[in-house]
Amino acid sequence: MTYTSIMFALFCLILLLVYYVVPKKFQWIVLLIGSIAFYLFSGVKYILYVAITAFTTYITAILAYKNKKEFAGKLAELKQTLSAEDVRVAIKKNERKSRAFMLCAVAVDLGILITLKYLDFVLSNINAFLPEESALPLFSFVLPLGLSFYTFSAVGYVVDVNRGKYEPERNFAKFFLYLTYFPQIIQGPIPRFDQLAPQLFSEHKAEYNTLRNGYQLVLWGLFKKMVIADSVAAIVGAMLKNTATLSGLELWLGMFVWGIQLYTDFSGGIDVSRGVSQMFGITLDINFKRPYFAVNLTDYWNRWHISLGNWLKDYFFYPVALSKGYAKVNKSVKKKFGKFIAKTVPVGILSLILFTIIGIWHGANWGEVLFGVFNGVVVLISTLCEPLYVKIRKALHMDELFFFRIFRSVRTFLIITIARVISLPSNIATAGSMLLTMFGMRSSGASFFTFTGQMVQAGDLKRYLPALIGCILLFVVSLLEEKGNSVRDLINKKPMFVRVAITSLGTVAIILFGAYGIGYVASNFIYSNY
Amino acid sequence: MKEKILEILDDINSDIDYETETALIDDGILDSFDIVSLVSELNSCFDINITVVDLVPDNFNSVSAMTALVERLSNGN
Repeated sequence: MTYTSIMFALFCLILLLVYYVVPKKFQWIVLLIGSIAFYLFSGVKYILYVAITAFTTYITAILAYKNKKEFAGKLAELKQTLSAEDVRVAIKKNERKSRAFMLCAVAVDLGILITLKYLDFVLSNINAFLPEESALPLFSFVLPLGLSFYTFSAVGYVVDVNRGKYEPERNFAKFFLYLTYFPQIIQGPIPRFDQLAPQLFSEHKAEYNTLRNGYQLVLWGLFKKMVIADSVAAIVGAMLKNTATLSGLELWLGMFVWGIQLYTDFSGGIDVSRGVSQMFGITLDINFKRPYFAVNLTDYWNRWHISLGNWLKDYFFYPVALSKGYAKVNKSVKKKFGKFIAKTVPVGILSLILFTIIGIWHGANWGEVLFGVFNGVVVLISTLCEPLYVKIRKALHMDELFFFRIFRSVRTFLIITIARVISLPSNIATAGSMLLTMFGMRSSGASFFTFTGQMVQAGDLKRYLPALIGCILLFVVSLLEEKGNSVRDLINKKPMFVRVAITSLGTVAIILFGAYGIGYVASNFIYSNY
Repeated sequence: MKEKILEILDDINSDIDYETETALIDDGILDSFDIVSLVSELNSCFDINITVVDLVPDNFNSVSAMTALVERLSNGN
């Protein structure tokens, strides 16, 4: 059941009615039943994986918390009977025990994720070195719905409980709802327990503003997905089929279209998730902040899939960067190479690893790994060059120039486009050949500027004009929001008939150019495979 | 203490008016690389242990918030 299907719309409508009709204390149970039903639609057996993750995380978080709590109760007594050194040892021992519970959950959760998502990738790489007759069998696991998303939610939860950030949830059904909450299970955003749980379990009144705002956001998301992303998908498909014969210009254009498709597909899906959730009175985190307005790659990653970046910072980057081991390395680098290198290189390498993880998260193939490494290397180089770059900008007063601001955004978009060439095709050789053609170092038989139009003809020409208008509208909305305006507030301040007209127009546009339009092919969300 | 923190911050990026800035994290003025350097310097300078749990915007949005954090950790709380 995809978010763009009629079935999903009906499912939400029925659930909303029941949600606001039942006594408020049972609302969370309605959400739980709805979430389980939604999950079961994706395949009955897959719920077993999420159940194992949920149960392991639930139990170990309680055990880790109990262990700490009981020890804290005895600490005053221990301080009176034991020496300071013995107390310190006892504290350490207790911390280790709690950490062991936490690591048990992390191992099970990540173990399931790694096995299902990456085992075949590892095995096929081993097979590359083995004779054909001794090749290891591949498992071809079908990924359970939202595997990466619920795994990261579970790991974040158990780590936070062990850090003492909040108490564990005692009710397993409630915890299961937190992990499987249906509006976000397909493609996030990756939630935090302390932000989502209180909303899930509190009582909500049916309010016009909440329902209206939610519906508007759903419409906007569907508009991005159905009117823009799905309309241009055929162009990207045609590009991938004909990479060897397309000119450099056509490949650049095809990759720009892929940038539009990817953004409108993923951010549209997130808008639908957030909008549906808002109708239930539950606010999900923002996952995009106009990434194509970013001035550099770091800025881009602070605006794209924000919940993944924040998760990796909180549970990987900062824990390593603040560890004693890292401090030791940093100290010795400082001694040998000076302050600047110590300040930039170790943290840059750590960020390179983080970007590699982001790449791997996106898919089990070398293209995605290299996509991550490329991003990390660019960030590392720009960090090293930053002092010189800032000096030049200041000396030439470049920051005050409007065109320089545009140049920085265009440059960032080009860098991320090049990175995507590495990850988009199914093999690295194709990516390499595409890059050579795009930079004029390989000829496809035609000159660099040849435009045959074969990519464009692959799609439904009638859908391009609405998609183009959609892109212009998206740009205007993004520009307004980048300047600090809330387009929703601007619309909601208008008289009733204007608001109704805008909402009706949006609905009609989706019906005409979306699911019911001529030539529409329903496609799944790109990020739903993660 | 506040002067020393200002000195550390100036060393990270001298273009920022730390005395008046109250949204160093919320507005993205300090990035994750800056935070790592800052925490490392604060830890070694004041002999404290800033952990991941302390890495919330409220503790780093302004110099006074950082001063309060360092004071709290120095007192063993």
